[in-house]
Formats: sequence, structure tokens, C-alpha cells
Amino acid sequence: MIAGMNARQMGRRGGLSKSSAKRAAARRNGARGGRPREVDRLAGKIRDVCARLAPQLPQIDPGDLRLIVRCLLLPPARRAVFLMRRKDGRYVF
Amino acid sequence: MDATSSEISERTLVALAKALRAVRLEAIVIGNSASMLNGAPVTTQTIDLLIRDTGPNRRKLARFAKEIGGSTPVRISELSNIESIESALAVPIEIHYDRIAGGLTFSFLRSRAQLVTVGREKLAVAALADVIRSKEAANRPKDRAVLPILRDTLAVKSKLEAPPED
Repeated sequence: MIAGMNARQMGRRGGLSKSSAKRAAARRNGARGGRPREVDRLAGKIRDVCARLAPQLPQIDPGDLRLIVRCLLLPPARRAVFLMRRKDGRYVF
Repeated sequence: MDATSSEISERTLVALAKALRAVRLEAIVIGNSASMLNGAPVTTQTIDLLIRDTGPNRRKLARFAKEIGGSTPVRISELSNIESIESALAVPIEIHYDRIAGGLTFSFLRSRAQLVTVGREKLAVAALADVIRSKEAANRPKDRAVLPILRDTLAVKSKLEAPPED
């Protein structure tokens, strides 16, 4: 442990230890699928937030709640999807 | 690979914010664009902006239109002071002056607006409660259609932003 450094900072700095136990642990984590993908993390977060809020907001349709929570969890710039008119006159999202 | 609609929409917002900053035009995003940026799962065919109706702002608006490769602002009807700008952006820009339905003034909306980050730019976006107030006052069929989901979004936002209960 380095004084004045928290666990996150130590993780970023990385370890100097190259033990076989550490290598084996990394292999085990990798075999389990490794770091979760961003989409899986977002899906999990949406599920958790909906599960927490649904009992507090019974008047909101579960499908709508899911859409709202998904939008709110995205960064603002990614929330916007405009309906655009193509040159041929058709509209696309 | 073609850009996704979400990427095009994001680029549109960034270009809009950049152009507003370049000409120093103070504007607030209102209407359903504001609803989207506030997290409501809705869409729209225009970006509505509210600005103060002053001489300097009219000149800045003309420069803004050029900046986005757009037309001169054109009144959408003789019965309304809303102006529209067709441009190279994905959707037209509609300009409202001084106040919107519900008697909501520029200064009132600005005092409650949020600064939202888009790319490296910032946009002032009307609060969702104010968008709802304005749509309730306008009370057109298209406003009534969208109000339930806006109210639901506001309820969810309030719950998410509330401090956790013990």
C-alpha cells in the first residue's frame, strides 16, 4: 500500500507484481467473459433503476418507464434523435 | 459505414451550439428538442430556439444563419412571429422571440434553464417543467399528444434526482 493513494489510483498505476497467481486470476476473469461490455452495463443499469422506481411510479407504463430511464441514463447529446426529411421527401430517424 | 441517426443528431446539436457561440447569440433550446435533451423519449422535426428580440440579436441571427449555411430567417405565417431557417443542418431551426405560450419570458426560462454539454460545446436548454407549462398553455393537438410522456419523464427525473430515502 502506498501512503496517500487510494485503491482506484493504485489500480491505474498498475502493479509491479508478476506472480503466477496474478496471471492465473487474470486468465480466470478473462474466461468468465472479461470486462462487461458497455451495452451490457447500460442494460443492467436500466433494469436496476426500473426495478427501483416501478413501485414508486405505478401509474407509468413499464415500457414507457424503461424508455424514459434509458434516455435519462444516456449523455444528453445522445438522447436527441431528430426526425429528418430526406431529399426524396421521405422521413427518417 | 453511414453515420447513425443518433450520430447525425449529435453532430447537428454540436454545429448549432458552435454557431451560436461563434456569433455570441444567446438562445435557449425550447420545445421538443428541449424535451429530448431533458431525457424524454420523443422526437421532433425542428429545433426551436428562443431569443430576445433586439436589433443586435437580429444582426447576430443573420450571421448565425450564414454560419450554419442557412437561409435568411423567414416568418412561418402572418399570424405568428416565429421564423424558420432552412440550413445544412439535419433539421430546420425555428426562432421564437421574447416569450412562448404560457407567458414564459426569455429571462424566466433562462433563469431555470440547464447548460447541457454537446461534444465540446454547451447549449442552454429550457427546464422540462417549463416545456410542459408551455405545451399545456399552447394546447394544440400535437402538444396534447406528447404531454403524457413529458409528465411521466418529469416524474421519473424527480425520483432519480431526489435524495435517497433512509
